[in-house]
Amino acid sequence: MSRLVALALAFALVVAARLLTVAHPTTPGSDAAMALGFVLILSYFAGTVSKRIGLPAITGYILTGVTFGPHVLSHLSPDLVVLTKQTVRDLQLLDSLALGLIALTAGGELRLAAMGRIWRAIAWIISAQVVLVFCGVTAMILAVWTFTPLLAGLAWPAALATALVLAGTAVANSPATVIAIMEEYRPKGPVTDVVLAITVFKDVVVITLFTLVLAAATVLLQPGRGFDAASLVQLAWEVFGSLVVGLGLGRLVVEYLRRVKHETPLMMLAVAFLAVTIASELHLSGLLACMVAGFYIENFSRQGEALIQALEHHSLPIYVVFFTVAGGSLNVPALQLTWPLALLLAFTRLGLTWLATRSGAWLAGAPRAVVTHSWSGFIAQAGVTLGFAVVVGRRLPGVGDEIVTLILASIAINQIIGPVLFRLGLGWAGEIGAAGPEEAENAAEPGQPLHDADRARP
Amino acid sequence: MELRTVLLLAVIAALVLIGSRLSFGRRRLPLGVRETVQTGTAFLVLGALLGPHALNLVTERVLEQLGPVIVIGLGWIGFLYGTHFEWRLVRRLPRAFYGVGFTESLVSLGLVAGLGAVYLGLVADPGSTPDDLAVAALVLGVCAAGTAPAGTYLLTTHARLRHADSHALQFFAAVDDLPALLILGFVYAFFHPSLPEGGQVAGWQWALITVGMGLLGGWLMHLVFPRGTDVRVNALVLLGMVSLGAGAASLLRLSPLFVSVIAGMVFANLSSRKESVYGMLADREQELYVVFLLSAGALFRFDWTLLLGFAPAYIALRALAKVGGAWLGLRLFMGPSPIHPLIGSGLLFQGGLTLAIAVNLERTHVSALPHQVATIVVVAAIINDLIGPTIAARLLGRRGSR
Repeated sequence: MSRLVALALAFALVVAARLLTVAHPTTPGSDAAMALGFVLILSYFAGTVSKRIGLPAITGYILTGVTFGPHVLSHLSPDLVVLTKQTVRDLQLLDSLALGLIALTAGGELRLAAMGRIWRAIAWIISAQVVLVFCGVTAMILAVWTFTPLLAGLAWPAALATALVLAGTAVANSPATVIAIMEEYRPKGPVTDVVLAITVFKDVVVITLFTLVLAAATVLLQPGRGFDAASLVQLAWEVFGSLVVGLGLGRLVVEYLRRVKHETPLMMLAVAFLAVTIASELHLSGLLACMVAGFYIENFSRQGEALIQALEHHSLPIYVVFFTVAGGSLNVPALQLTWPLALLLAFTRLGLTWLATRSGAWLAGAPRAVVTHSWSGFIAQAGVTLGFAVVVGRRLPGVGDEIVTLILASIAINQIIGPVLFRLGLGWAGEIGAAGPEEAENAAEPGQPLHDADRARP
Repeated sequence: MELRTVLLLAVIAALVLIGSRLSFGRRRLPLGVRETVQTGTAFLVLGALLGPHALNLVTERVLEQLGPVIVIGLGWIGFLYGTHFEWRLVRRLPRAFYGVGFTESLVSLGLVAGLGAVYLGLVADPGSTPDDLAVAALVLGVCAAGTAPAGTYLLTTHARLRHADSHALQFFAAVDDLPALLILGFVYAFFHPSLPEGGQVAGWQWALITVGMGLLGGWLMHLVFPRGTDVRVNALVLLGMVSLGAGAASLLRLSPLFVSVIAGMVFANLSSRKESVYGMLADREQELYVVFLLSAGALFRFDWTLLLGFAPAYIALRALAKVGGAWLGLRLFMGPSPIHPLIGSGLLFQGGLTLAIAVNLERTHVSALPHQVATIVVVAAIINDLIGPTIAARLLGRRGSR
């Protein structure tokens, strides 16, 4: 009860400070720091409640972000909004940093030895997802295009371009969600291994697919322009450049961990910051670079353990910040505007992902649990897809706004149901708690240290 | 690849190499350089080099994006300082020690603020108001009043001073920021630049709001702080509460440092978990502190008039004020004592709190004066770390140190 009173008082403090805000300029980032402080505490308690009712903690973080974000409480009064659009923009650096650290964790959790057993499943499932989800979503959009108010006004080439771009983004899923759920429940087993490996490798496939789709859509929308070969060069630059930067950073970290061994959490922050900055300056994928760095450290040095320990030092605030800001960024008005089509898109994607993952796993001869349950890890969408939406809005004048609205609405649905489905999938597969009885009982928050046995090298 | 990125990569790689060699190598560094490396002042130099006024690798835009981190850093430093003041422990220490610490602090504040007012009055551009001038001069004085305990601790370890002197130095360094911080809080309240639309809030009311926010922040922290022992969860809640209080204060153009110091004091006196919180604050300080030092360094401007003219005067006057103030304090409150009369020479170090005060002013006020204050404080912090240990070892070492 005393905590509820405290949270109410903290909320009152935020609202009162905003009401008393003076007209003069103030320290940059003040409002963002205040809002961040409030949502950190609230999200943590919401995560605890979420766990008590059997949902992942990140669902609590996301719902806190949605509730105190720009679109929900504003219906009562604009003064009640804690995460305003400006606040979310001000927290962009922290958000990118969090994504970089999550990507380092994703790469660091992936072990070559474990992958040797599942590489066939990885290849088959990714292929099946690309073919079935991409073709299925394209076909669905083309089938309903003339019946939906949002897209009905588009000519055939524009509708095809829209369908291709939506299908391209539908293939992507959220590595951050996968990692957060895995850190929270400590699962162990084939479904866990397959979902993690596919999530990391699919990132390259998704970037490639999206670039090709965007080039094709540009041709469809501007027929006289012809295929833009420069986009292929850009694609090669993005993928190989990110690999090179990731390897370079990985090597830097290995040398640091080997020679210095001090202040490793600080070094990880610096590396994530560096990766994000370099990627932004050079138009590379910071996510991919960080994943490669983490993968390199884990598999090509003896410093993997130190890396993961250092990342765990920061992990709880990282997940809370990332998913709360993700919740605050969810475009509720877009969902209100396009909900029938967005629901259709989200559930078509869900169905196709289920079908593609099952078929791919079956063709690869994967264990039964992988065939039956691994689809659940590929539903959530967040940062990567959001990034695609921004690019679409910039690069496809004419249809960009419609596509962005649909993508954002679809992300809103997928990001809310995705973590819950993955948690259920892991539970059905019997992999929650398989890492040890302690983890099964005390999975607690995402970000707590993994059990030593779980970190042992095979 | 852009030149800036190449440079950034090169600088980071060099930093890793040099930092690791200097900080953790076996080579024994000279007095002064050792303090500069170990107290993190090297990051100030690095920030100055990388900042928008030198290599411009850390651009104004990056500094702006780091805004929330800087505000949180201010709160963290303030809260950590405030948690030291647990009444149960505070009252055990001799009052005379407080008298000496406060005297040297107030003498330094008064003398440097006076000199600052004269200098800034001469160089201020015509757009600066008397209030701008007063705030800048007072903040300069406040910055001069404090001492970095980390620097003093390293001095007492490396220079092997007598026990009585070491003990006194550490105590004075721990308390001499307190009166300065109180004055800082009231400077921000009484020189508040504006009023909210449609309302009339007087200076004393802003002062009450500042104190009230600190009290509320500490009490809320006490209420929400988890009872469990999970360090990560506790650190998250701590980070949240510190950000909330510092952000709210900063949004209202009040001092986040002052508010956080009060919140820290309240929490230290209410909670039974203060020991673990203090450990956590110190443990997690590193990342925030480095970002903070880099940001503070980035504010440095290569203004040669300032660097060759006022900065040496500031450093010299502050040193004299510290030595004179401590001497006066000893005479007033302790009479004959085993403490060296020039004990103030061991209180030259300027660290986290001082830099935080300068950063706070620079980020809040838009006139040119805060830039000058920040530059003076940054250069003084670096030089004091370099020369302070040598001066102190020579002066204090005459009586008994090896």
